[in-house]
Amino acid sequence: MSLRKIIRGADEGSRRTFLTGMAQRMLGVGAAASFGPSFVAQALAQDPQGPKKPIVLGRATAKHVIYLFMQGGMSHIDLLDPKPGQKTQGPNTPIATSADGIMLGQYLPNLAKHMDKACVVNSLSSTQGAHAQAQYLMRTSYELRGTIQHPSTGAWCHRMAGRHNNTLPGHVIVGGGADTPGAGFFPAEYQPVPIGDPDDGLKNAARPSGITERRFKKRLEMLKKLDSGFSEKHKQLSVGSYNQAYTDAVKLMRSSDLTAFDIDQESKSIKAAYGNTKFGSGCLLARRLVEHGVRYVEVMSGGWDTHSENFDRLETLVPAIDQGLSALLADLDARGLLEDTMVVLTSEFGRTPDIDEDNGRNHYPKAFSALLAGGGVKGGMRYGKTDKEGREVIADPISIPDLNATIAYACGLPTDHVLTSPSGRPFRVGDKGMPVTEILG
Amino acid sequence: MLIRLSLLLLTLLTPIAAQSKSKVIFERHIVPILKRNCIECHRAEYVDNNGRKQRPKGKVMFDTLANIKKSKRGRLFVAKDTDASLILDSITLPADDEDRMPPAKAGPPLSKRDIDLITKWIEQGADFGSWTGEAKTSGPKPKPSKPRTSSKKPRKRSGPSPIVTLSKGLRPISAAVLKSFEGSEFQVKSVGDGNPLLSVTCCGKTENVSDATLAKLDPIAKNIFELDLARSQIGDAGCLQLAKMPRLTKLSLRQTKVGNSGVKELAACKELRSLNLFGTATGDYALTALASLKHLENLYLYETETTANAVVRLRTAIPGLRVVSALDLPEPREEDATPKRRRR
Repeated sequence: MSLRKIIRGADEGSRRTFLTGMAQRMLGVGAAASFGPSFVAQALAQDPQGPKKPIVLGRATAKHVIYLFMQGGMSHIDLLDPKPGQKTQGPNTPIATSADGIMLGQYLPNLAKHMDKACVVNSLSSTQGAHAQAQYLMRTSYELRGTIQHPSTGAWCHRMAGRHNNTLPGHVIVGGGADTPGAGFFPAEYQPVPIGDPDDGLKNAARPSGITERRFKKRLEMLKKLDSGFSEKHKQLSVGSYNQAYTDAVKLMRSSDLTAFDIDQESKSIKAAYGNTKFGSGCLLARRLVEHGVRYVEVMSGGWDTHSENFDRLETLVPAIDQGLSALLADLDARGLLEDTMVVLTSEFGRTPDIDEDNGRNHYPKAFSALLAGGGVKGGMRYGKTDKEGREVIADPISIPDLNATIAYACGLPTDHVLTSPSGRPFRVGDKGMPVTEILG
Repeated sequence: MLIRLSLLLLTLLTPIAAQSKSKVIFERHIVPILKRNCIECHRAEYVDNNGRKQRPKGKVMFDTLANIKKSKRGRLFVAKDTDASLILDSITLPADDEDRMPPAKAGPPLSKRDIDLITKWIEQGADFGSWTGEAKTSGPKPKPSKPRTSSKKPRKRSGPSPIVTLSKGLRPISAAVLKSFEGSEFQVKSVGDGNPLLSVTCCGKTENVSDATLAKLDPIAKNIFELDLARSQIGDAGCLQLAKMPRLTKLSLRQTKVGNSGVKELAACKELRSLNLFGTATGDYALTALASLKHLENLYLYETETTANAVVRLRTAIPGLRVVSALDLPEPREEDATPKRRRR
C-alpha cells in the first residue's frame, strides 16, 4: 500500500475503504480473509477464547482513553519540545505556558493555558523510521511482521477490562481506521468501529425506511433460523464472534446511546470552539463517546509528513490541533470527565532537528515527544529531556512499549499478564514495556 | 608426577586460601548490594502510597531468606555452583540484553567488584549466616518514586490514599451477592487488585436506574468507593440512599434530576473526594451543606444554579478544594474550515 494512500485514508477514507472498514469492524469480516485460508484454518482450530487464568485488574486511574494520533510524524521541536535560541528551532518563537519551566511551540497558545493539567514527555524514541512500521509499533507495541497481526492498545483495553457501556463499542477509531491493526489476532468482537468522518457519525445505523420494527424483528428471526444449523454444526470461536457482532449492532441500533455518535446534537458555539475542522469534530465526537461510556477512542489526523515547507504547513496544521485539543481538555474538565479520561497526543516519530534545503524536516524516530493529560496523569510536569538541539534523549528515555504500558497501567491492566495468539504464542499489552509510574499521580 | 602433585596441592589449597583470606559475609557484603540494586522491584507484594498493589517483578524476591528460597525454586543462589546460580546469569548479561538485571532503565549494571563478591560468596558455599531478612532487617520500604522534573506540587493532600485507610478491616462482599448484580442495571467491580472496596456504574443502563432502583445497592452500600450515576433517572429521593454509603469517595450525578434537597443529603458522605454535579439543579443552598465535607478535592458545578459568591464561601470552608464552575473554551478562530492557501 502506497504511503499516499495511507495518508489519504487517514484524512478521509474513500467511500470504498470506508465501507470495507465498516464491514470489517462492525461485522468482524475481513481480518481473517486478509490473511488467507491458512490463517482462517488456524483461527478455527485454536480457541484462544478466555484467558488461561483470570485477569486481575489493578486500580485504574483512567476509565477512558482518548488517543490523538498525528499521522506522518509530528515535529517535536516545533510543538512539544522547543529549543529557543538554537539553530534547530527554525524561524518560530516558542511561548511560555501556565506551567513553570514548560514551553511550547508558537502555534499552541490555547494549549499553553492548559499545561497545568498536562504532562509533556520529551524522551520518546522509536526503533522504526518508516511510516507503516512506526505507526504499527506505536499502536501495538510490537514490530510489523508478515506472519501475525498484533492487537492495538485499544483492543487490549477492551479485551482485558471490558466495556463500560455494553450497548456501545468498546473501541472506536475516528478519521480512518481501515488500515490500522485493530483487534489483531483477538476475536472479531474486539475490532474497533471506524468512523471515517466525525461529522457524519455512524452511518447505516437506522432501520431502512419502510421497514417496521415488526418486519425488522421478523427478518432477524429468519436470519437466526437460517444461521442456527450452521452455528450448531460449527461451534467455533469466529462463528460466535460474527453472531456477537450482529447482536451488538442490533443492540446499538435500538439504543438511545446511539446519539453519542451524532455531533449535531452540540451547539454551533461548541463546534466553533472545537475548530470546525476534521480534527476538532473528531475531538468533539470523542468527548461524546467517552461521556456515554466508550473506553478507548482514537482520533487520527494526517498530513504531518512535512518533508518540504515544514513551517508553512505547520501554520495551518498546528492551530487546528491547538484549538481542538484545548477545547477537548476544557470541555472534559468542566464535565468532570478529565479526571477519568487520559488524553494522549502523539505521533509515530518526530522530525529532524536539521532543516533541509526545502525548508523541510524529515523522519526522526530517535527522539520525539508526546503530551498526556487527565486520567491520573500529573499536571504541569515534564518528563524526560533531549539535548539542547533536540537530537538525543539525555534523560529518562521511554520506548514505545513503555508508553503503551503506561496507558495500560493507568487503565488498571496488568502489564505482565500473558494472552496467547491462536498460534499459541505469548503476548502482553505493551510487550516488555515498563509503565512510567512517575507521571501518574 | 611432579606436575600432578603440584596440581593436587593447588586444588587442595585454593579454597582454603580463599576462605582464610577473605570470607564473604552475606549480611555485611551482599545485602547492601541487593538493597542498592534489586530490592526496590524484587520484594514481597505490598501496597504503595497510592493504594496500588505492587507485585515482585518476575516473582523474584530478595527481601527475606524465605522469599529468596521461594524465588526461582531456590535456584537464585546455588551453593558452590556458579553455573547453576541464576542470579549470575542475569547480572552478567551484556548491557544491551533486555534480560540484563538491573534493567537499563532502572539502574546501571552491577560493578565488577559487586559481581565478584557475589560469585565468591556462592563459591564459598552461599552461607546466609544468621540473616533471615525478617522484621528488623526487612528491606527498606522503597520510597514513593519522586517525579524527576515536576514544576508544580500536586494539590493532593498528603497521607495514605483513602483506598488504603477505607479498606482496612472492611469485609469483602460475598461472591454470591456480587454475582446477583450480573445482568442488572449496575456493573459492580472491585476498585482493583481484589480490594473489597467497590466501583459501581450504571453506564449503558441509565434509563432503567431511578430512585427506587438504588435500593438494590443496599447490601453493598458500605463497600462502595466510587459510584457513577451520570445521566440516570435519579432525583432527590435517591440521594437518601447515597447518604448510606460511608466509604463513598467519588460520586457522579452529572446530568441527573437531583437538586438542592438531594445534594444536601450528601453531607453524610464524609469521605467524598470528588463530586460531579455538572448539569444538575444544584443551587447555593446545597453548597452550604457541603461545607462539612472536609476531604472534598474536586467539585464540578458547571451548568448548575450556583453563584460565584457561594463557591467562594465553600472554598474558604474547604481549603485546597478545586471547583470547576465554568467552561473555558478557546475563542473560535476566524479562518476556520477554509484551509489557508498560500499563494503569491
